This record gives sequence, structure tokens and C-alpha cells, in this order.
Amino acid sequence: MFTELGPLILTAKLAAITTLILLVIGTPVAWWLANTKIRMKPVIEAVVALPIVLPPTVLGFYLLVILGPQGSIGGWWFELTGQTLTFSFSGLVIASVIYSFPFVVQPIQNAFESVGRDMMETAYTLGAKPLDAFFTVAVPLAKRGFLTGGVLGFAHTLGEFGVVLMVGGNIPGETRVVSIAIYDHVETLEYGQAHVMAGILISFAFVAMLFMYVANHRLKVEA
Amino acid sequence: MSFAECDITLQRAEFGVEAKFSIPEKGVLGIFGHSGSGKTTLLRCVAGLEKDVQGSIVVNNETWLGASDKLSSQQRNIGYIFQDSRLFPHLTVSENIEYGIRRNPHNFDAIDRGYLLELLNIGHLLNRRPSQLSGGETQRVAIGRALLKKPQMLLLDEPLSSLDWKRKQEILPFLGKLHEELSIPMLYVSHSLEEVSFLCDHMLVMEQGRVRFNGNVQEALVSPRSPLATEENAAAVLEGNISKQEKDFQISTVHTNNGNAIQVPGILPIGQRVRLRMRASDISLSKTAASDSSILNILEGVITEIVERQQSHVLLQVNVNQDILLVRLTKKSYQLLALDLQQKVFVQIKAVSIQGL
Repeated sequence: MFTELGPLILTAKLAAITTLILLVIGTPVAWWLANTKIRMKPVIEAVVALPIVLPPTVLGFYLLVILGPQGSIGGWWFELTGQTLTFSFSGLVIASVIYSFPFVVQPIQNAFESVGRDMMETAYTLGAKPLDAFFTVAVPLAKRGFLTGGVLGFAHTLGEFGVVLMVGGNIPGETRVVSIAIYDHVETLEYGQAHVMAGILISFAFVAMLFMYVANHRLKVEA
Repeated sequence: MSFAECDITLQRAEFGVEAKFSIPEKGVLGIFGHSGSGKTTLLRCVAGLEKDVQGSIVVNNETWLGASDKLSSQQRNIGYIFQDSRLFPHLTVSENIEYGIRRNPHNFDAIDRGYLLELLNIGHLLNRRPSQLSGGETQRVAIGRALLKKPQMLLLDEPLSSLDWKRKQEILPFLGKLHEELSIPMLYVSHSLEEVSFLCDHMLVMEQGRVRFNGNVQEALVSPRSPLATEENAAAVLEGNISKQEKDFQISTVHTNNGNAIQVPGILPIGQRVRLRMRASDISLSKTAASDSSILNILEGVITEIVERQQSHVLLQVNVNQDILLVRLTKKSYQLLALDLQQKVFVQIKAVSIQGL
């Protein structure tokens, strides 16, 4: 049973950590994108959106090169910790953060854009400093964007396969996530186990989406 | 006495604003202009909401904008009331009001909160969400929110433009009263002649980003140098007190500051200060005093100025015992009556056409 539960727990852990990191680093990026007036903005937006359209293997290939012991980041990491980033959980987290980045940033950016400058200005005239206004006005008004971004980031990370295969391989307890485990079961013709895991993933994905749409609707009614 | 001195330049690629003016300690300063005249931008410059503003703003001996230093909006201690209220939709009415109070704690006890809530008639709305308020309620809450932080100066950007005249009639006197009771300097941006006529004491008239006229409101409304005098619904404003009531006819008499008696519809309390607004097109002239006219207000005056001559119309200034009225006549009547400057005339004003507030 452990072999069945292991990939599930690992996947959930990976998705949760990735989502948390993405909310923390994605929020300032989204805010900046929503407010910047620089000419380069479309270029940066296009770069942010790349993981949506790239085949995961392309992304995974480059990440493998960069995160590998000879790569720029991987080499630095190896010197620092004595461990390789590739074929490790930490490497998977980095890869997932990049892979799911647009799914978190875009909804939050859209939400910030619809909050607009007006409400922030109003807060300033009432005596709020910019950071204060950000947390008391922009964030609460953009909560639907955060919800959507969080759920999409989480769900998208759950389903990742190609990137994991390239960067993480298939190490039980370290990088063997559900999608890899299903692939393994199918390869070895263990359709029964594959069914169980695929079924769990479908149910989970459905519940996550349902939660998002219901909550989104609720929040809309409240505001 | 001047409360603030502003000398502001804002240059943008498409548009620029340039204005030098003082904000008086007493009285409401109206900033009038049509859309695109730069009046709102000017107000935003004073509020610190525009970047790249050059010049100087000194308020009450405090430099808000100088050659090298600039206070941010949150440091300027202003109350800003936006055209669209901008209540925070995620907060209740009372949380909206708290938002400003909490960020200006040193000012708090200066205004009696209960009194103001009652004055604004919003006490019963405190637990509602902004989405549950009517247009008038929303704007009253926004006024309360701006005032309860106890600003040094109140900036109003067309606060009544989304309300109908009936609602305006409710809120305008209230704004006037606020100004009197709290003695807080007010800047009032509007494109409505009616609003500025009843509320403002001084006027800046903006055109294409520049100040076209700067002076007291009576003058701004009638002077040939002021663009307001030639507006479509140009009107003069007189101030006075109610001196007599005729309950049977529902007519009150107003004694103007210059001693003219003018009858207006409605019963108002004796002694109450009122402003009367008389549109140029609602006033007619005759050379002799009609004795059998239905018109209640017939006053003797002298034509002192020809403000504007058009193809079909003539716009005149008539001095009635130092009260200046604007009169618009057809060119035809003007010539048939053989009117001219310094001519003695009788001014006829239908009581029902007079707006009083």
C-alpha cells in the first residue's frame, strides 16, 4: 500500500509547496505587470506565458541542463549543499514553480488590473501608505484572482508529467509523483493500480475545480 | 486671508495644466470648467495624485510641493471626495469610515463623530455594504469618510454630478453648512453652474488647462471678462435674508445684501440666509414700470454693461441698487426699445423662475 500512497503524498506535498512559493513570488510580479507602463511589458508577459504553450519536455530539457551538476544553477547548488538538484525533490519544486508560474501570475495580474488605480488612490487620500493600501485594498479586492491562481497552480502541478520525467526521473519518495506512477503501472500492464491512481487524480482535480468555481461565485456575490 | 498658495504646472504630451491661485481660508473655492478643461487634473495636483507636477503648493505654512520636496497624498492630510464615491466594496460603511480615522489617529477627537453621522443621515447605514446603498447614500458616506479623518482641506471632484437636482438640493445646503460649521477650506470642482452658484464664494474658471477667470462668485457669474457670463444658462446670484412670509400665497420675500426686496416662491424661515439664482433668459426689461403685470418683482436699474452681442441676442448687465443682474434679450427687443448703456430700465423677474437655496 505504501507504494500507492507514497506518490500521492509526494504529489500533494510538491503541489502545496509549489503553490505557496508561487503565491509569494508571483504576487509582486503580478502587481508589477498590472501597473507597469514600460514598453517591454508585452515581451515580459510573453515570457511569463511560455510554459503554457511549450511542450513540457522542452522545458524539462532546459531545466535538466541548467539544474544539472554542470549547469549554472545546479553547479552552484552542488557546491553549496553537495547534492544535485536534478533527480531530487528540491529540483522538482524549482521545475514546478517555473512550469506553473503563468497559471498563478495571470489570474492575479488580471485581478489587480481590475482593481485599478482608483481604489489605491482613494486609500492614499485616506492616509494609507502604498504597502498598507496594497494589503488592505488591493489584495482583498483581488481575492478571486488569488483563489483562481492558487487552485490552478496547485492543480496544474498535480498533473505535471513531462517536466518531472526529464528533471526528476522516478525515485520513490523523492520524485515519483502520481503521474509517473501511473505511467509505470501502465508500462508494466498493472491496469488495476493505474485505474485507482488515475481515478483519485480525476476526483481530486474535479473537487479542486468545483471548489474554485463555487468559491469564486460566493466571493462575487459578497463583493 | 489666504490659506494656501498654489502655483502648479503639469506638462503632458497631450495636455497641460497651468494655474496660479490662492485658496482662501473662508469660503468655498469653485473650480469650474467643461470636460477636458483640466479642472479635475488641477484638483489631483493639489491632492498629490499626479506625478511630474512642477511649481509650489504651500498650505497653512507647510510646503506640500516645492522645488526639491514633495509630500505624498497620504502626507497631505486632505479629504478627497471622488465623483464616483469610491467606497471600498469589501468593507462595510462603518469599516470604510474607520479606514480613514484609523490612519489619522492624531486628528480623531477633533470632530464629533455622532454629530456628523447624524448630520449626514448615515447612522442607520453603518452595517451595510456599499453595494446596498443608493446613489445619494453612497455619496453621503463618502463625504463622511473624507471628513471624519479630519482633513485640513476638503477636495470635492464633482461629488453631485451623478445625482438629480432634487438630491442635489438636499446635499448642497448641507455642504454649505459643513463648511460653515467645520470652517474647513473647500475646493469644489464642477461643470454645473447651478452647483457653483449656490455653494461657492470664489471661482476659478478653467479653459484648456489654464485659468481664464479668478475672482468672487458674483463677479465670475456676470463679468464680461468671465466665460461664465456667456454660458447657455448664465445667471446672476444674489445673497440675502428672508425678511417676510406670505403663507396664503406661499411666497417669501428676500432682502438682498444691497437692500432690494425680491419675492420668491415657497415659505422659508425668517432670517434664513439664501442665495437667489436668476437666469438671464428669465428676466425681461421695460422702460416704464408696468402696473398691471403678473410679474411680482419689478425693480428699477441701469444698464451698465453689454456683455455680449450675438446675431439674435444681446446680453446685458443691469445694476439694481448695486445688485448686478444678467439679462438676455433678443436683438429685436433691444432695438425696438432703443436700449443703450446707462439707460434707466425696469427689470421684471417672474418669482417662479427664481431658484433659491
